[in-house]
Amino acid sequence: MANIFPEWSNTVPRKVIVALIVLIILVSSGIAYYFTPEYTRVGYAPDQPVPFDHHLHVEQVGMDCRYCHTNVEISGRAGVPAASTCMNCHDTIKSDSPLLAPIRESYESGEPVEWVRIHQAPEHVYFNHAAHVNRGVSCVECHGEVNRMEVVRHEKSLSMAFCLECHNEPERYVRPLDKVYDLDWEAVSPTAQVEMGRKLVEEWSVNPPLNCSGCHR
Amino acid sequence: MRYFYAILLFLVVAVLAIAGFRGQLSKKPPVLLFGDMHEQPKFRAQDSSSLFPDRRADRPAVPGTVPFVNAKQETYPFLAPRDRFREDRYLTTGEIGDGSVGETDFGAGFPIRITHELMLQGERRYEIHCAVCHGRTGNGEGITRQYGMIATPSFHDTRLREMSDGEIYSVIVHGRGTMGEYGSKLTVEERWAVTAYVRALQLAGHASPEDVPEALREGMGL
Repeated sequence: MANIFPEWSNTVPRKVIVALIVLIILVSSGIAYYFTPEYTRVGYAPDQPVPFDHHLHVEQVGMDCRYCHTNVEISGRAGVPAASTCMNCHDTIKSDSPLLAPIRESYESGEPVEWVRIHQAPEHVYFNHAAHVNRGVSCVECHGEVNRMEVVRHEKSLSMAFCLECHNEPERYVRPLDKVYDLDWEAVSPTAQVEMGRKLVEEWSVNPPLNCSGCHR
Repeated sequence: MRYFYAILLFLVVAVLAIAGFRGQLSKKPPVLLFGDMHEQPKFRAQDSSSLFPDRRADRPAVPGTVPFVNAKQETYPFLAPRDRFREDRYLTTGEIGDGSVGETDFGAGFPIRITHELMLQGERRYEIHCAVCHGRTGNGEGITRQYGMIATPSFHDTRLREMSDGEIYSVIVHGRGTMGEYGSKLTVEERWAVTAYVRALQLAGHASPEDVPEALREGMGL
């Protein structure tokens, strides 16, 4: 009796299984790599109505974050400043720069400057700036080195895993209160950070919520 | 089989070429992969809204609105408006008299108790909001002078040393000349704290080694 299946069919099951495994590995690593804020959000750097340069204002001029983001210590929102805040200086300095025209128009007319939001927690997340900066979490932990950015970009993923890293081990991130707005500050070594962090966490009774309702409502 | 792997390789290269890598700069808004509840039909602070002609979701206070504190906010002060209405005219404006005369009349003295904490608070606020122009010592040589802000006076001039506390307070609230208003950035207490700190700077600008308490002199090399 002749063979029903030709000889090459002997290797087909093996080949199909290997091909399926390769396909599954590729697809799932693709999803793991792309379907996360690490890919979708990080690097977002839109054009703004005025190309505000944080590096110039913070490093060269030496302004404090709170000059413009005044509410950060007392409110859930750090706040984007009103045009009048810009005009405190730009009424005199570079007062005819074409780049600042939207600010002058807004100051005259009262119409808002339509800044493009870059960092945005999902709306089912209730993040409070004041609660964090008043307990030694620096701007740099979530926003990256904004003080060195000429164009602001989304630097950290701000995914839930990102939040939980610090909520699990706050001692690795908290710093003395007078260093919160000093974005370049770093503990001398990781061990010194953890040692100091433990003390601060105990002193302030820091107990970051790990239950769902801590952040989701 | 070979074709299958060739197509697979081509697909991988194609995905990498189109989607790129993590962290690449992009001007396009982030893609929402699972949008459920991510964007909700509600407004958050400083959102835009198509409901109102000025496209602001935040509604400006109606002229004449007076912030008040209700019973719940008395119990939980963090719920209260940052700066509530208070009857005391000098405390909130730095002015005295009934305000009927054309000339504004500024009072002297501090309507709140000056403590070490208040001075430290004044120092912090001064360094954030004032030092950029007035300089950390109040000599008017802040960084903005190098960029063309030439009109900033020194606190150590006779005119400013003789200025009343109420007037300094009022200038902080409303601004004067090229100086903008800082009333929107500072609470009543913070404004008086800054006023007190300005007074301390003026004192320090005209002090002699004898004014430093004996115990502190050594640490300052006096």
